[in-house]
Amino acid sequence: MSSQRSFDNPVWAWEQRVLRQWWTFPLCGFVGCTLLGQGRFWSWVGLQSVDDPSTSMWCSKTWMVVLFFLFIPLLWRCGIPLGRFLSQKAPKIPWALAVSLLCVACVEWGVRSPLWQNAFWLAVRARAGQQDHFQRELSSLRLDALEFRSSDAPDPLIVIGSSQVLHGLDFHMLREMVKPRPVIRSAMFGMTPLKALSAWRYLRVTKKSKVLMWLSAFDFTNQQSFPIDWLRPLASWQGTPGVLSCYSFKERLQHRWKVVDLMVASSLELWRIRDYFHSLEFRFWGVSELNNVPAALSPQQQARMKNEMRYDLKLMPFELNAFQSLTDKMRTCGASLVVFEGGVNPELASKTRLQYEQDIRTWLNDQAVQHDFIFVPTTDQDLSLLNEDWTDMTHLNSSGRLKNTRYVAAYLLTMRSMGQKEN
Amino acid sequence: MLFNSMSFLVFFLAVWGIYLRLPHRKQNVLLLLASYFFYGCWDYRFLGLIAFSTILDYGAGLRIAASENIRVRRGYLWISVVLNLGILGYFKYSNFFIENAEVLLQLLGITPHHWRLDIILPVGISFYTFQTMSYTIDVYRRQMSPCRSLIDFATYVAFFPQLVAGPIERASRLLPQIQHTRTVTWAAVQSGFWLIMWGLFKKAVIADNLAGLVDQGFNAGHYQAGSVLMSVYAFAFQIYCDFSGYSDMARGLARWLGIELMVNFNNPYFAVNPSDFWRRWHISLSTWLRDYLYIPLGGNRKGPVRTYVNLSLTMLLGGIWHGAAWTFVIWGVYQGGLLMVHRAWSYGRKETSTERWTWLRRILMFHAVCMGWLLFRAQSLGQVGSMFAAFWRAPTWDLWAANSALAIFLVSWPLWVVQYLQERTKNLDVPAQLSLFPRTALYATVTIMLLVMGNAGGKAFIYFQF
Repeated sequence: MSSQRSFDNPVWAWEQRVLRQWWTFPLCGFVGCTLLGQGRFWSWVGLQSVDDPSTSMWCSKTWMVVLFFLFIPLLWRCGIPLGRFLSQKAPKIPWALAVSLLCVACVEWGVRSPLWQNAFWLAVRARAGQQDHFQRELSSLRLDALEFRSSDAPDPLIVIGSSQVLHGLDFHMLREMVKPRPVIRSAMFGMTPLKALSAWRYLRVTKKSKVLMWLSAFDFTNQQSFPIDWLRPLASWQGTPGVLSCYSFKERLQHRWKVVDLMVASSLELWRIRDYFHSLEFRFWGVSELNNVPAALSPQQQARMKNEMRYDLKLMPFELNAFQSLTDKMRTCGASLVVFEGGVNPELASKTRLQYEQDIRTWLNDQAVQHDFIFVPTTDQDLSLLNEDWTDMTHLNSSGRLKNTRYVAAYLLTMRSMGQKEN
Repeated sequence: MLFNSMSFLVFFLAVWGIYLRLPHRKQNVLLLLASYFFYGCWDYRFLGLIAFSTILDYGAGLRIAASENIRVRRGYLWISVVLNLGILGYFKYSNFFIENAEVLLQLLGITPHHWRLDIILPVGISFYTFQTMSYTIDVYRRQMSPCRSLIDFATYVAFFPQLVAGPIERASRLLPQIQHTRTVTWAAVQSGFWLIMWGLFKKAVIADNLAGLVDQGFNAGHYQAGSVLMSVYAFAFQIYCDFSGYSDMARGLARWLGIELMVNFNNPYFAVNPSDFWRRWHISLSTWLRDYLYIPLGGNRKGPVRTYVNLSLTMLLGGIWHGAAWTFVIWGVYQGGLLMVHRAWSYGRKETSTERWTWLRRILMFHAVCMGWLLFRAQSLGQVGSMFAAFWRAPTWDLWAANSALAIFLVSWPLWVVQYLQERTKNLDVPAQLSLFPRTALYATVTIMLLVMGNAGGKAFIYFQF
């Protein structure tokens, strides 16, 4: 294309006109620095007011940005003969496309950098709405993972599990009670064994870690068959092969595009963060909602949902496989695992549930023997939870949380004093 | 099977791989089979309908061309037109007419029996019906000779890149390309690839991202001026990018098959007046309506009053073509009204060419178009009223509107840049002619935005419902 250029070509003429005004580029860089500098960027990230207006805009960063913008017209100008040369030498190669892929790779490298990650996840967390529990937990997990990379926490206690743990443990109190051992909160809403396996890279399990996991019959039943929206932001090649191996060939074929999605997410951070980039895009200045009237569920739908969720339980084999893979992974890396059975409000009585509870308990007991971990069933937990200790059917309220935290801390301290199974 | 889905990618690459290895006649058979398979993936029950429409117009074309008797020729033309429009009317408008007849009867004091036809609208019926009708009319007018090969004609009707949402290709343009040997050049593959990427960007990044905003804005329980304005702006970009994105992808895919489809959009939001807008928006439909409706009605040859009547009638039918709802009817009337006002205003005036005025006219025209989009998108006339009322009842600018304004900018800025360049250089092929640096920057931006912001769920295209 470039070889056919002539001054009559309006595209070429336009480029020349822009390049003649090369000084506008560094000027734009300077204006950008003034708009985003002086702490404004970080205050936007955290949705706070500017806290450090005294910082001079004439800092080295400003000059670097201005210099970078100065390079743009230079690169552009050099690109004209270079493009012509390349298209003459190898006209069949789509050079622009090839170079653009290189640029994408550079951007991918940039978004993996701690600085960018820190700013991004802080911004995402600040923009989580009241109901966006997963978004909040996810950004905290990703931010904690960044901090952990640069610190050397000795023998950490890593807590994993779903909302049962998040509601059921007072982490501040637990940290105080088990001092000096650090407690890392890696539990997230909806974290079943499959999801924990997928998030392996961010759980930061090391040789000296003790992993505390909460599981109930609900973690193995009625789960979404391939929860890609949950798995995508935490996908990595440390977790994805394990996740895929939990499914049969037929299931993988059935979810083929989700498998592809997960594999792309494991390779590209740009793909991994996509759902949360959307939240920045639409909540740039903060969380805002219109007064949309949600479509109300009919009483029949509500009853069916409740029924499906808590009574008509259906076992998910991939969750059982995932738990086995998870225990294998823990054993391989030398971490010790303690599995607490999560309790359920005694009001939620159903024959099916009780049967499942019993089956899962037996299965976990067998697994504990085979895979060398500690399993603490509800029957062995000295908790004495009453009806008034529950917020709903599966989550503890503040009084229940207090009882549970005290019990867990006491259990850990006893274990430590006994030296039983300690790292 | 949507263009923006993984299934389509696999389907297309498989078809393309085989296609390149076949001789011309077999390529057409493959295209026909692939097109029927593609359509059958939506709903195989309607394959019979498309086959019927094909055979009807193929036969009518041959009969019309074979006869010298004007009455016979006109007879076959009428059979084709009535049957085609009958099928379209039955599937698309039956329930609309029944509903309105019921309302009318109620007004007359008669309580009608409440009944509806259980009809599913076949995807793309409005597009292929108009396409086949144009063939028969062109043969009748002796503007083209009939197609002798049923395979070729069926491929023309069902050509999968443009089957479900256009462009509405004229037989005189597409049929010769199907009938003659095609060559797929490396340059065509490269430019086709860019069109596919650009179309996908428009659809998955701009249209699909703005869809959520539009839904929230239009379904808000309580309207405020700022949010109404942003919702309408968002819808203006959503509908444009959704439809033109499809057209771009269709053109890109066809180019990979060695076929050149017509340009369906030419930067419509740069239009300076209503006539200009309709020369740039959905060009295949507007030229169809011009050639087969407006001009046969007399066009502007029969005095100003008749011109206005013809304009409003054409635009009314253009509105109804989009769907069976009063909002579409009113949208058509509104567009006809705009055209009439513009014609009356510009009667005897010279076109101003000052750049400053051009921008002002563009902005005014864009807002006039947005007003039309409000009518187009609203669920009811009551909603239109409530949304308009927000401008004097609640003229406020809230956080949602501020976020939306920025979101619209963030997702659509590359579109503005490219279109500005296209408009400035009067060249739609600008991206391919840029030098290495800006072209690389554009490709990289589009790729990154597709990765980070693109909707991977494969949302259906808005125009499929028409």
